[in-house]
Amino acid sequence: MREALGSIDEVDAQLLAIDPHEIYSARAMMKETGLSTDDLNYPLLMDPSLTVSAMYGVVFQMRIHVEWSNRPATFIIDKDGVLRYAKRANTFADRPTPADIVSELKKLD
Amino acid sequence: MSILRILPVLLGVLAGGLVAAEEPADTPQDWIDRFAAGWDEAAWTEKSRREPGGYMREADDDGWELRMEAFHQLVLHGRDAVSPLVARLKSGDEPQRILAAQTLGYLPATDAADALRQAAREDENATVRLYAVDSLGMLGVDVDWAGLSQNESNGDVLKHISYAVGRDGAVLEESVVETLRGWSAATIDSARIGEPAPEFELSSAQGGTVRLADFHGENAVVLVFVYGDT
Repeated sequence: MREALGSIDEVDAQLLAIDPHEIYSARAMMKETGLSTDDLNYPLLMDPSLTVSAMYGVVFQMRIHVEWSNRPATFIIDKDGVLRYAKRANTFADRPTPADIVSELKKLD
Repeated sequence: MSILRILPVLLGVLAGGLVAAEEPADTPQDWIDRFAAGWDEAAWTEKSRREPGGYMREADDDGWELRMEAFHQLVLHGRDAVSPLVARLKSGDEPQRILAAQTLGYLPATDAADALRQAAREDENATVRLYAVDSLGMLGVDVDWAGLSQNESNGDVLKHISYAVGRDGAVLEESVVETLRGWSAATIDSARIGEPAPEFELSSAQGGTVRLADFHGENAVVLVFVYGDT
């Protein structure tokens, strides 16, 4: 995620991450990786009511060990607010690479 | 198909925050039973999460809509759902206990604290213990967290105990429950290529709130659903 950032900046897009937890868990999870949320250069948005995750069709589809979570997914929304790309992954490794995302963003113009 | 899907979204947007929460349908018991009937443990695999299907439902599994609907409807029922959920937490089958442990923290149900403490301590299913811990943290009730940690062997549950301790007594924000109650279930799975993306406003871990609409006319948005920093 973080490595993806530089290349996405080049194509003038805003990265937003959505996490299905409350802020307390998100902060603690970041800490486990040795980071604070302030180290991120993009907003980490909290969706503890799961409503946005449900609208985008990713909620309650995966278990990480013993916890329910969202299916990892990537969406691209153009400047007009229209959804142009959707990838709901089947594994963490199945997500688009930064290069894939940049290539999709370049198609928007 | 597409206009039918999008119409409730448009109406919801037009009415803004003025829409009253919808009336709950059926009884809490009905939703608990439907959730449990749709659980289908066999649909899960024990594969690594790097393998196709590992930890995840198949892409065409639509049971998640039922799981979200049950969760939403039980929160709409609010207080009426507490006693049926506590009963199932104590003596239901696994899916019923999981749903109860997860949902009681949102109702909110401080009178379920004893049952949640017992589930966190004694339930044989780690998912039940994990959600009981989450709900106890959300409710902000007294818990012997050190004692729980000592008796816990599952690493994920131990992590969630530490998240709960890290709340330092902060209860679930009322706005989370209000958002869930006011959410229109008609917007479920409404993101379609070529159509306006579902609008949202969420609070940011770095402070403030972010709306998707903030970027309209300015930037394209790459929206990534993550788990922690994964």
